[in-house]
Amino acid sequence: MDSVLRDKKAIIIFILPVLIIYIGIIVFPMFASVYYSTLSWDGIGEKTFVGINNYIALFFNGDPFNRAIVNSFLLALSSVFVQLPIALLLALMLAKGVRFESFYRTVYFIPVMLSSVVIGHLWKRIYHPTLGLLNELLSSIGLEAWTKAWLGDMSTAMVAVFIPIIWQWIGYHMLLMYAAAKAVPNEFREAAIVDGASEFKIATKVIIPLMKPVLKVCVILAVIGSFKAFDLIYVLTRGGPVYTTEVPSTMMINTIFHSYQYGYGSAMAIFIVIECLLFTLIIQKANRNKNITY
Amino acid sequence: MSRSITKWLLSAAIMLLVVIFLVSCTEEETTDEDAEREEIIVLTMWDVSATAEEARVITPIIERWNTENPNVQIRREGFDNESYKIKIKTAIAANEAPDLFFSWGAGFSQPFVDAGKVLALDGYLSDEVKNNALDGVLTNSIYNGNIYALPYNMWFGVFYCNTELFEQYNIKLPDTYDELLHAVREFRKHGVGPIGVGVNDRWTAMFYHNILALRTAGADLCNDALNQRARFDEPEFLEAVQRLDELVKAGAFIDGHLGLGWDDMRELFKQGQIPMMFQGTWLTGELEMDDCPVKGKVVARKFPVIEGASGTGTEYLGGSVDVFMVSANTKHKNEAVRALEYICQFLSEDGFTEGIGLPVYKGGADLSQMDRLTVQASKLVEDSTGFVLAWDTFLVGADAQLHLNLVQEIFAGVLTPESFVEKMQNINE
Repeated sequence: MDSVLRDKKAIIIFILPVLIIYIGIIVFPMFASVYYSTLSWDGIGEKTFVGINNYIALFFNGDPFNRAIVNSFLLALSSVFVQLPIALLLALMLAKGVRFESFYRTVYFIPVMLSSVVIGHLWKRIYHPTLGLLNELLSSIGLEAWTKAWLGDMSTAMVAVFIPIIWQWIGYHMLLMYAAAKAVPNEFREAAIVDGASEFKIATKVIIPLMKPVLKVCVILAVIGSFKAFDLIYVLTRGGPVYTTEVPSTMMINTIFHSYQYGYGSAMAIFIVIECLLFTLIIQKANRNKNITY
Repeated sequence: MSRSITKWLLSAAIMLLVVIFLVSCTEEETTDEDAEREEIIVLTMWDVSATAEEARVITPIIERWNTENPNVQIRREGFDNESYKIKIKTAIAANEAPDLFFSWGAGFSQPFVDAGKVLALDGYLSDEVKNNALDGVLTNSIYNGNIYALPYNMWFGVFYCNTELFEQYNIKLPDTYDELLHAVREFRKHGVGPIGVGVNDRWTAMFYHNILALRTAGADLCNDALNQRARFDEPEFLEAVQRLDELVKAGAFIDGHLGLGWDDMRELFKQGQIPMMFQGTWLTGELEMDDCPVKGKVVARKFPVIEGASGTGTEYLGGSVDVFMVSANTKHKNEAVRALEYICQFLSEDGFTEGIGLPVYKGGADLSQMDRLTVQASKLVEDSTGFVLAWDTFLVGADAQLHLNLVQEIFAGVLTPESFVEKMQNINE
């Protein structure tokens, strides 16, 4: 196995098929999108070159795109500060060793395996103003005054949409963190116990610092995933009501397919790509020299 | 040495297998082997009858064609309305449109025609079909003087009223806008959401704006503005939006309407929870089906008139804009057009009998066999003096989206009527 890994020619041969496909399906269309974003084009007819006008219009036309960007940032923030801590807590508890550990691991991971469309429709039923589970629950415990049209009310729509998104991916991050926590050699834990540390201290001073690389990966994945978030939002509200749940990707779909503005939509797509790259770099730089080893 | 040669051979073989596997997986769907042997032509067809209920008229028609024409088989696929709008645009742009496909005429299909993706039917249509078409129904299928589509029904907007709810609360069915406002307030006093709408599917909300504009401005001015011969900020249009705003603020629309969709609204009405709904004639058959809770309780009426305004009660929102088109890339032009004529004419007649639309070809529909509501609706439009299409099918692309979004903002209460007409006028600048 080692000799294969070291043999550069072997590496290239094994990677080549997938690399070709990757370049064809992902890299090439990205460059094509950059080209399209410089056009004014309806997707099927003639193309007119307009340079960077699409990008200027993106930010200065008073479009809801700025609102969409803000929403995606809010989603990123809630992913990092709500979703990841919950995942971390669950991961640490499971890694410590509880009864039915593998059962819980599976159960928490099930939302990740479900199709986003299925989850979207599930939550749509929960949020339904008259027939939904949530309002029924509130009414049955006497909180009828709190019932509302969760997805229809402009003040609650955004939070209502974020909850399923965060819920779905907790298991995914939990699994990554669980693996990292399990990888911490048991001797450290035992040594800490011998030194008289409480569970909390063990978690914060021993396990988490050793999990830093994985935590960094989770943060990057959460942030990028939030910038690209699409399916759940599209199924739940399609960006409505009145742009309160709009994110760059839903705007892109509407622009391309309903407004026949392929060039403008491509500019949005390129913006999302650049945004993701930028934030990946920022997060990498912020965590550069903090890998701790004992 | 021999070991590394074996390794090389093995890796090359694996790579080859992988590439072959992937290539074969991305091949086109297997063509009908039978078709190749006996030269059967298979025509693909897409439409928006996604459920078995919606497809109840077209399925038997296609089966009849397939039986009568063993050499030309039609394979139909139905899609949900909103997703279809995206799917058909992608398919056409990628030159993968099916032979026959559903579309909306006028503005919606304008880009397709302009890009040359739709077959011009003039040279292919039979005279019989052209003569059978009722007056004016081909208007929205004609682009640049050529016919590019065949319509299969006509729709117009009717005001559905659940008489049981009106009687229950002793409220008079409204004939004028003032009576409508009164009815709205009365229903609200009893805690009933008066008018159904599903703003998440913006077109259902747009219907209310369009019919109010029809009432305040009249059909001629509406059509002039849509054709860029008049302005969208005329006082009549401003009044229409102000009335809509007034209705929204009076609580005229069902609770949670911002988040509900077309399906929700329809279901709530069918469950008998909403007294009024302004929608298209495509619902008449559905509302009279045996398992529908409001069967026999709904009447189709004209939308209330605004006294003193330009519009009259004999002008209707609607027209003939549901069409089928033939892709310009089809390999079997003659067969496709023959199939087109067959389907459209039978859909027109059978659709009328089943209550999903009004006919656009001369036919022999037996009114006594049809349900009460469809007959009532069809009689309603006999006195029509003018039609205006739904604005989002007339306008093209970004303009249609702008209109839909502005209407949505009025329903959300975040836009003033003055802003609305100002932004609409930008379309005509």
